Amino acid sequence: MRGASLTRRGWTLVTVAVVLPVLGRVLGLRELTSLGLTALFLCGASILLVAYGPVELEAVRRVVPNRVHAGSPCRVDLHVRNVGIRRSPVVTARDPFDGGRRWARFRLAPLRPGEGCTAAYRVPSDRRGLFNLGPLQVVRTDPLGLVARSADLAEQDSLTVYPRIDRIAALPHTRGADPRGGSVTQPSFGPSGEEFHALRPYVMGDDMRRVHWKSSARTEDLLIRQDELPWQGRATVVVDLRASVHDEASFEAAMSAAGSIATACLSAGIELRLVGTDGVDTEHGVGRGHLDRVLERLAAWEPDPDPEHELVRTLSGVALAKDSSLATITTGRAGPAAIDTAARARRGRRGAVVVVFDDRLMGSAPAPTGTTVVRCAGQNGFAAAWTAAVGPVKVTA
Amino acid sequence: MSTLAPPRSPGVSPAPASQPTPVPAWRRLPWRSPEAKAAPRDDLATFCAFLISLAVALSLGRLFRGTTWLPYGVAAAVLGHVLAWGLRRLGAGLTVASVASPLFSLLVALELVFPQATTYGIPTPFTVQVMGQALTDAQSAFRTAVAPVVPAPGFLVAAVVGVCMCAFLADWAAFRMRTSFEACAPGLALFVFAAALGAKSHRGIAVAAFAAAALVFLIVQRANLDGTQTAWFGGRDRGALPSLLATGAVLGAVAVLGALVVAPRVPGATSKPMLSFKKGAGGSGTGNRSTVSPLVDIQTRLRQYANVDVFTVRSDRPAYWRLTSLDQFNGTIWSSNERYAATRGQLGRDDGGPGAPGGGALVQEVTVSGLSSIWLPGAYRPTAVDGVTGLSYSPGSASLISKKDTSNGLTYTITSEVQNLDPEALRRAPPSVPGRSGLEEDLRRYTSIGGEVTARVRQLASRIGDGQTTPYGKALAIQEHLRSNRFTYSLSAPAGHSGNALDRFLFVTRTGYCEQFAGSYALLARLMGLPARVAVGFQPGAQADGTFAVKDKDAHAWPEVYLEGVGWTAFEPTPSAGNPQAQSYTGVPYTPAAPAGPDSATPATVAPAAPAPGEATPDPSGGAEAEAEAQADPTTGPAEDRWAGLVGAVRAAAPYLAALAALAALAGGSAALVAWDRRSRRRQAGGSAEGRVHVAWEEAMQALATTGVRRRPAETVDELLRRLSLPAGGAALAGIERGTEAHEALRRLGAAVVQTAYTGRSAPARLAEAAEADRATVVGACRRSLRRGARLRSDLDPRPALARLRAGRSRRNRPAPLET
Repeated sequence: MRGASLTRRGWTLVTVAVVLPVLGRVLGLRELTSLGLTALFLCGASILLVAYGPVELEAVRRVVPNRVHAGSPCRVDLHVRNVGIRRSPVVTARDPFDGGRRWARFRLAPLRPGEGCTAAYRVPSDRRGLFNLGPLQVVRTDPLGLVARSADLAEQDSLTVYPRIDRIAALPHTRGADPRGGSVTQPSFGPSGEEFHALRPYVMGDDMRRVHWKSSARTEDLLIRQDELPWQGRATVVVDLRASVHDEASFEAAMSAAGSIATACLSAGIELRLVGTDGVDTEHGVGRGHLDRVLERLAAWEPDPDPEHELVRTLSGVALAKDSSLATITTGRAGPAAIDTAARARRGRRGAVVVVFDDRLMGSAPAPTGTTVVRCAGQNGFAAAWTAAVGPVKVTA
Repeated sequence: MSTLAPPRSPGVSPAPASQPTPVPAWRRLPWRSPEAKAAPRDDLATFCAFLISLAVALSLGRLFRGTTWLPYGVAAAVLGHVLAWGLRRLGAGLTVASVASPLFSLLVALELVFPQATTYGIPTPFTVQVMGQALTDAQSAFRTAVAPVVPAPGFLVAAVVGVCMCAFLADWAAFRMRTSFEACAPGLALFVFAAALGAKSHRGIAVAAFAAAALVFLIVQRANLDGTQTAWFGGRDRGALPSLLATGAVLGAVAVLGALVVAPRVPGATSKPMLSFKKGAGGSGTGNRSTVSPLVDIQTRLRQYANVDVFTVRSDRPAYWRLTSLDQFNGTIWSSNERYAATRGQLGRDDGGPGAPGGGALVQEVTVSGLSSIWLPGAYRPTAVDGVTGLSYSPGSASLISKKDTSNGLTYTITSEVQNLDPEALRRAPPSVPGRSGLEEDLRRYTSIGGEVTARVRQLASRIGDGQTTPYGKALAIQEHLRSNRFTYSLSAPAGHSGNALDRFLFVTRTGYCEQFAGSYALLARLMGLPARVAVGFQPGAQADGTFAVKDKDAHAWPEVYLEGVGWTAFEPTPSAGNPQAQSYTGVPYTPAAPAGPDSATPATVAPAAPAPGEATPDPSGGAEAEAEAQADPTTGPAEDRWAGLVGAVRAAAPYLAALAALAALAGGSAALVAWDRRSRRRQAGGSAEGRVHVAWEEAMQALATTGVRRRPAETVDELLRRLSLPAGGAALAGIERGTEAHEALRRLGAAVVQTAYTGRSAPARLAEAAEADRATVVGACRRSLRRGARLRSDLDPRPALARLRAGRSRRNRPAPLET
C-alpha cells in the first residue's frame, strides 16, 4: 500500500488552518485561532488514521466474456473479501479501464472479518480495441476526505473488442478454375469430393470431431485431420491503413467492413488472407481459429502514419492465385489512381471488389469490367451497399 | 450494475446513470424547476446543516445580553432551513428560492420581533414604519455598541434575517450546488462576525459547538454526496454512515479538544491584537471608548428583561440611580461625547452649579449584578466613590465608567450630594445668557439642536412657553403639557426618539414611554432656549430592609434643565413616574414600588409639596413607572395583575391558537368522516353475512392501499392474492409477506369474498365472523408496517370516505331504469 498523502481538500484545509490563526492573531480573535488549530489537528489525526489504519482486503476480477464484438455486452464481476481480523473501513474502489482513461468507481461499505461482497459493472464495448482492465485500486480516506492512501488489489485483465460485424454475403467468384486450391501437392480425388490433405496441430476453435485420435495418441498432442477441398475458394482482403486517407470514422468503418467480409468468407469455408498496407499479412487460413486471429488483428489495428506505405505497392506485392477474389478497402481520399489500381488488380478477371468509404472524393469514373465497386457514405451504409453491389446473403436451410 | 462513465479527468468520479423518475401530477407546478431535486438522504444532511445554523445562532448570543435572543435565533434557524428544505422538496428553482427566502426571512423577523405591529403575521405600513425606526436606531447604536448589548429590536431583526439568510445560503450550497465545505462558509462568516463583535465569554463553547456541528455536517454530507455520485459496491451501504460518523466523532473530538487546550497557549494568544477594530475594547481612563446609548435599549429592558435584577443599593433614601446624561441631539438620537478621566476617590465638578443647596450627602452601597453597561449607577451628583479601582469620571455628565466591558460584579460605595431645592429659589433663577452662564462655553452645546425640527414642534414649544417668564416656569410648563391627559403611557409604542419619532409622538400618537417623554421634553426645552439634556438611569426600585432592589423594569429616562445658580435640575414629564428628590419643585409625588417579598414593609408614600401659587400646576396623578410597565408586562406586576397579563398573552397568541384550533378541527372533522364512513359501510351491509364479508374485504383493501399496495384495475381477487404471494408482489411493503399469519388471513378473506360472491346460497354467519377476524389481522399487519406519521395520516385520511360519498351521489343522480 502506498503512503498516505493529503488530498486537494486536505491541502485546502491545511491552508485554512494556517491562515486562520494568523488572522486570529492579527485581529485578536481567539476563535479563529481555535478553528485553525481544530483544522490542523483534524488533518494530523486524519493522517495518523489513514497511514496506520490497516486495509486488509483481497479482490478477484472476472471479465465475461473477455472477447466481444463492438456493441455486444460485456460485464466485469468484482469480488472483494475482508481477510483481516477487524471490520474494514469505508473505502473507495476504483477499477481503471482503457489505460486509466475511464474507470468504474465504488464505495465499499464496511465488511466484517471474512465477509465478502460482489459487484458487477458493464464495460463500454462500443468501440473495437485491445483494452486493459485494472489493477483494482482501493483508496482509504478519512471521513472528511482529507487524506488518502491507495493500494492495488486485483491484477490487470484484458478485454478484446472485435469490430462490429455486419451479416453480408461472402466474396463472389472464389472458385472454379483452381482445383488444387493453390496447394503445391497434387490431391488424389476421392468419391465424396473431399480429400484428406494433412494432419495439423489443433488450434482453438477446431471441431473436436475432426481430431485424429490415433495420431494424437501417438504424438501425445491433438492433431486435426485437414481436408483439402479441391474447389475451395480463396479470398484476400487488403485494407488501406494509411492515416492520410482515413479519419476516425472511416477507419472504424474499414475495420468493421474487413471483419464482416472475413467473417462471411470464413463462414462460407473460403480461405481468407488479410493484408494491411503496413505490411501485416495473415496468410491464407480457414476455421474459427483463423477468424479469431483475423479479428484480433482488426481489433488491434491503428491508423498507420508511415508515409512510405502505399496501397498500390501493397496490391502489387500480393501474389494472387488466379481464382482468388480480392477485396480492397480504402477511402475516397486514396485517389482515383489507387482505386483504379485496386480495381484492375485481377487483370480483367472477375472477383475484384473495391470498398470505398467517403466515396464523394473518388470521382465518378466507371469501374473496369469484372470489378465491383461498393461505395459507402459511412459505416452504417456498408451492409446495404455491399448487398446491393455483391448480392444478398444466401440463406441455407 | 453500473456502467463505466465517459472519459473524464482523473480523480473526478463519474455520475451514475439514473432513470428518470415520473413526477406526480400534483408536483407538476408551473414554477417547478426540473433541476431541483431532493434526494431522500438529503434530509439527514439538511438537519446537520441546521445544526450549523443553530450553533451560529447560539454564537450570536455573545452579542446580546441574557438569553432573550435564544428563542429568536433558534426560531430563525429552524424556519430558515424548513423553508429552504420545503422549497427544494417542492422542486422550486433557484430563482423562486432566491426571491422567497429573503422575503420569508424578513417576514419571520417582523413576526418574531414586532408581533404587535403585524396583523396575523402580515406586515402593514405600520410594521414597516416600526421596523424602519428600529433599524435606524440600531444603525446609530451599532457605531458605538459594545457587546453584550441589550437586544434592541433593530439588532434582533438584523440577526434573525442574518440567520435565515445563512440557512438559505448553506442549503443552496449544500443541496443545489452539491458542495460540502463551501456550505459551511455562510455559517462561518456569521460566526466570525459574532466572534469579532461579541463578548469574550463562552469562546470555547462557541468554537466547540460550531466545529462539532460543522464536522457532523461535513461527514454526513460527504457520505450523502458520495452515495449519490458513486455507486455502493454491490448496492450495499449497510453500516457505512455509522462507521464514518464513529470515526469522524473520534477525529473531531481529538481535533476540537486539542484546539481548545492548545489555543490559549499559542504564543501571542493573550496579547493585544495587531489590528484593533473593537470599539472601546479594553480602554479606560483617558483612552477613546464608545458604547451604546443606554436610551436605545431602554424599551428592551422595560419589556423583555423586566424582572431581571440589575443592581441593589443600600441607602437610607430613595433616589433616581443615574447612569449618565446625553447632551447631544443630532435629530436622530440623543448621545453623549464626554471626556472621562481616571479618578481615585474624590470626584470633581465642572457643571457650573454652585453646589447642592442643603440636600446633604447620600451614601449608597451599590452592588451591580446584571447591568451589562460600562456605567456605574448612583444618585446625582456623585462626589466620592470608594471600594473599586479602575474608574473614570466625567464631571460634565457626572457619570462614572468602569475600565471593564461592564460594571457587572462591582461593589462600591458612592457618596452623592442630593438636591433639596426650594421652588422659590428656582423661580429666581435667571435665563442662561452667553457670557454670563455657569455653563460658559458649554451653553451652546446644551441648547443646540442637530437635524431638522418640524415647524409645528417649534410652534408647540413657543405656545407652551407663552406666559412663562422664568426658566423654571417654562420647565414646569413643558412637564405639565406632557403629563396632561392628552398623552398616554404605553410600552407598546415603537422605540425611537428621533426628530420624526418625537413629532409623531407629540402630535399623532401621543403615546409613548419615558424615552419619548424625556426626549420630547429636552427638545422642547432647548427650543425654548433652556439648556437641557436627557438623563438615563433607574428609578429607586423596591425597598426592603433598607436596600433598594433595582430591576430592568425600573429603567428610566428623564430630562435635566440647567438653571442658573442652581445647576442641573431634574424634571419628570413621564406620567406615572416620580422623582423622590424632585417632589418639592416638580409637584410630582414619588410612589414607592411594591417590595418583592410578602414580608417586606411597605414604605409610606412621600407627600408631594404643594406647587407655588401662580406657577403651572403639576399633574398630581401618576405613580411609579414600574407599575405602568407592569401593566404592559403582566409578569412583572403584582399578583392581581397577572390575570390581566395572562389574558393579554392569550390575546397575543390568538392567531396561533386560532390556527391550531382550525388544524384540530380539520383533523377532528377528518377523523369523524372516517368513522362515519366505516359505520355507514357496515350499516349498508345490513347485517347479512355476505355484506359483512364484503365490508371486511373493502376495509382490508383500504388498509393495504395505505401501505402502497393497491388492487390493480381489472385484477381479480385470485390474481391479487397470487401476486401478493410472489416475492416482488409488494406484500412485504404491507407486512403480509408469504408465510405470515396476515398473509394467510388475507388469503382466507379473499376466498370468503369469492365464495359469497359466486355461490347462490346465503353464507353462514360464522364465515362473516371469520372474515372480520381476518380483516382485523390484515389491518393490524398493515398498520404495523407503517411509520407513526403515515399511520396517523391513514387514520385521518378523508379521501376514501369522500370518494364513497361522491360515488353514492353519482349513483343517486343516475337516471332510473325504465320500467317494463
